[in-house]
Amino acid sequence: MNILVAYFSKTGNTEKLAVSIGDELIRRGHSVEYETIKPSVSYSWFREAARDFPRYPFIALSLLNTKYRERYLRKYNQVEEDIQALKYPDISAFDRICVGGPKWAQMSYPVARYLQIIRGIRGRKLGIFATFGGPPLKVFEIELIYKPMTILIERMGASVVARVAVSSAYHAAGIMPLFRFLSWLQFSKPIESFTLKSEYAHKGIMDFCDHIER
Amino acid sequence: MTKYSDTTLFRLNSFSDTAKQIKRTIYESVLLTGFAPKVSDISNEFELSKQMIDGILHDLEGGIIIALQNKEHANIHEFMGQKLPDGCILPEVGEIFYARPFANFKNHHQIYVDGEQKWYGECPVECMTISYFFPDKDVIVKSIAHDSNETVEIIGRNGRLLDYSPKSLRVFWGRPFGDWIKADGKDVDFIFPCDTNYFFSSEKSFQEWKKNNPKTRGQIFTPDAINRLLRMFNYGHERFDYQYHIPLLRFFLGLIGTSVIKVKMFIPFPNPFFLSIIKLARNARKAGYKFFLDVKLW
Repeated sequence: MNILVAYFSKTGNTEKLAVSIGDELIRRGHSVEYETIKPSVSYSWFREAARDFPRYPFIALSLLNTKYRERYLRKYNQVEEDIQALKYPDISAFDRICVGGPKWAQMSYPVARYLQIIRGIRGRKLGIFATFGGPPLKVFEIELIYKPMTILIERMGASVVARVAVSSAYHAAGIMPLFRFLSWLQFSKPIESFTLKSEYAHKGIMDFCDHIER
Repeated sequence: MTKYSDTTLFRLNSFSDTAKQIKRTIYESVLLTGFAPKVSDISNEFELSKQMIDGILHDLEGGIIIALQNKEHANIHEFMGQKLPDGCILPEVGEIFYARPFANFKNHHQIYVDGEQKWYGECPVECMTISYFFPDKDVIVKSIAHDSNETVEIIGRNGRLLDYSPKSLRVFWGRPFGDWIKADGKDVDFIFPCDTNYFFSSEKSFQEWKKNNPKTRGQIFTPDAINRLLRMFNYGHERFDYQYHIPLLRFFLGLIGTSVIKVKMFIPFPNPFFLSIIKLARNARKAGYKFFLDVKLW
């Protein structure tokens, strides 16, 4: 199969995940092309995060109530950011497309823009991947990135067939001690058990590639 | 390029996801081939009944995204004051006439990207930000001035106007929003509002033309003023979720001191030409069209 792996990476962690997925797909005999999603202008993490600040109370509220979260994730206004011209603006030549980026509250802004502008997405099968700072908390980390991406992709007439998300054990705001504590509290494991080199990530990538191949 | 504003205060209607997918299909075809697909091809691809596709195209027309061919324009020989070029095939009645800012037929507004020319612009006003559709590329619009038949050239990149010639160029916006739909909401024609949009080689020649056309309610603008205005409305046109939007603060701060918002005695006065958008919204509602618009803070 001819597969496109498109990713945005701010600190290099998502790029490593994208390359791992690409390498595994090549090992399985597929042809892989990469698309690096680059923002037109790079801003500091604080300036980027500040654009989502007005939404933080709603995100907090959505963590407490499942019904509200369902509604919120369908209706919220995703922040986007201008990206540089793409190598493959039309993806219709590819059999499968894998799109990924870091989790920033929800989708990272360049990935949100990428999904909004790529052509030929209708009827395609996509795989989505992401990196997040903390341990794989079911709602806060996993659902808040998978759901918005899936909803947008399905609205555009495509379908999501594979998902994988791993921890980068990195957060620009320096809240890793809190995440490390949560990792022990929730999973009784260090956060490194969920990073790219872990068994958790290896299993996730294998599973992702299995689903992409189907 | 400006960042996409996510500060939506409220939405006056939203396109359905199917309408957005159809809009995307239309623009993908335009960008690839220069022309929009036939309505029957779209309905077959989406497996929609005639009633459903008609409803969606009606919404896209109301959202000022497309315009459908009508009887009044079915047999035109001239387009915006210029003879249609050889080999021009006009769309049949009910087919897509405009996928704004593109026209679905050959005309004198030719769009060049990387030396390639297969696209045609819809009108001088919309041509000002057509480069949004070709990211990071210099887009050249070649057209003809209405008064002198002089060649007009506009160069843009990412929606921004880089250069134009002649330097005295003016853009004539022929009909204010309020004249687009009749007050009784009947005989709606989404092509006609752009029929009298022209390029003029200079303001002086426009004034001479106006002496012979005293009833015109249109106004002329500098290319820069129109570009600044349209950049706000057309920004993000290539996005899946796009519909026209008014970023309030950006609108006032960015256009103050231009012919769009004039300042008298330190008080900003919006040009009444554009205020008639309220009349357009009222008449469109009478005609059974929804008004698709996002109002944003920034």
